[in-house]
Amino acid sequence: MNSEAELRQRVRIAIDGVAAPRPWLVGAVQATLRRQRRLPRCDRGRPVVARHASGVIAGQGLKIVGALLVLLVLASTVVYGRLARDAGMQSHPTGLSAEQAQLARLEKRPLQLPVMPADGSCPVTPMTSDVQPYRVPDGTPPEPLFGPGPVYASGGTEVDSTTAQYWDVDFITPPGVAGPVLIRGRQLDGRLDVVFAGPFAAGDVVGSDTVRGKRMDLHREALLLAGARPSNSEALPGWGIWPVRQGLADVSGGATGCVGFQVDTPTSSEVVVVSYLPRVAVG
Amino acid sequence: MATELRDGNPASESVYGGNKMTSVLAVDPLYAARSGDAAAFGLLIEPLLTSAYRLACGMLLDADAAEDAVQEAALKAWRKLDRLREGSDLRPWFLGIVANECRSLRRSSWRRVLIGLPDRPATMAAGPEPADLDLRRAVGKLRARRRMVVVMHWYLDLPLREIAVALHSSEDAVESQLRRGIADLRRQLREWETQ
Repeated sequence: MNSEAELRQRVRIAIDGVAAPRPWLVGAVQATLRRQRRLPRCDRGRPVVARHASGVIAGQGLKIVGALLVLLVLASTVVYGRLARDAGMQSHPTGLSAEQAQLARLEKRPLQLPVMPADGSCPVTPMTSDVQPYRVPDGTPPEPLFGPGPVYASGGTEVDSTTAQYWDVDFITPPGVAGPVLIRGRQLDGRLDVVFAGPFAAGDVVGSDTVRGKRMDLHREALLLAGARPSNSEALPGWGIWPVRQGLADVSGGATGCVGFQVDTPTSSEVVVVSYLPRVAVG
Repeated sequence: MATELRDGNPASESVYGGNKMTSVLAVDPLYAARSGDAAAFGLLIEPLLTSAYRLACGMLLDADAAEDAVQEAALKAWRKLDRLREGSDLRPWFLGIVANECRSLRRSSWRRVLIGLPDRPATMAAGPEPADLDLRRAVGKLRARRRMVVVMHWYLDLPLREIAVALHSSEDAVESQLRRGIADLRRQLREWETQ
């Protein structure tokens, strides 16, 4: 079984062996749906708007209090983050002084992302298809990677909270990249900065969120220390595969889905623009 | 299947005619479904149920579990119908819900059951070839996202663009997941061949 076509055919046969026809399925689904109570639109997954005047005023008052609380929490986390950093408590691993100096220089580089074209078309960066960082069987074509290099990215599983949209990606560093790798991003068609979470998120904490029941801090940067690659048996020698959760911490802005990333190393700076499908805000 | 019933419905020519508007609304299952008619929604998704079941079989490798997943997904889809944007294609939207339902089932009791079995999926047709068993096991071992993409593209023949819509991803990311899934399948089969 060598060719992809052969493998595909055998996979189809293998799954066909499980998928015995279920001629009753259509009727069963329709019967289940017919048994559902006819629901008015406002009861089907949307919050009901309070129509009573005092209820609306009370609701708005609560919203203002809630917003003030959020601002207070954000302000305190930003202050804490800055204090922690000034005290030398880095939020990224093993900060050597030379790397800290390099990182400070990288952070001073302004974001130089493209401007959104007037026609609204996202200037997506072409994928790279001739780089192979993974241990794969001989003859396996490289998968397309985001970015022109030297740093690449792969993946993009979406995980969402109630208000935000995140993606779990792998950033990929080749053997020639040394020193810190700083990643920052911003919507090209909106107002949001990309936020990062996980062990390689760095810089000030700008908020927090809960995804799948787990609380996480949100940072404005991701930092990869190329000399401290995470262990990964899938990677070829010298290559680093860095799992990073990145996203947009508010999906109510109505952007159409265009984000630019700037990836800075001591000897390079690359811009990667991606197009994503914005999630519709809940509620 | 695009939600073009209104445009494709010959009665829509008279949509602005006074006493014919009611009949247009009555024969537009999407409008009726959005208005809360669950039976109308059942008619809408009927053409998709075979694909949904095949997707669930590929994800769960168990026909009974697949049937449960499709039933549950149909209910969830009806309850979430308001989130289907105007003009959006119903098929990727619904199949995305089916895929997520399968993923939830895998994470809960079904996953524990399958892991506990000695390298065999829970439901098997009679007398499969050993190579087919290996492939089925290999598909079962794929990570959820890669399995979704492999099953949707290789088994359901969905184009990558449509899979991207179903999975709220980009076409490039979907292709990336497909390539990695294929590589994982090959690697797993090679490991078993050399054992």
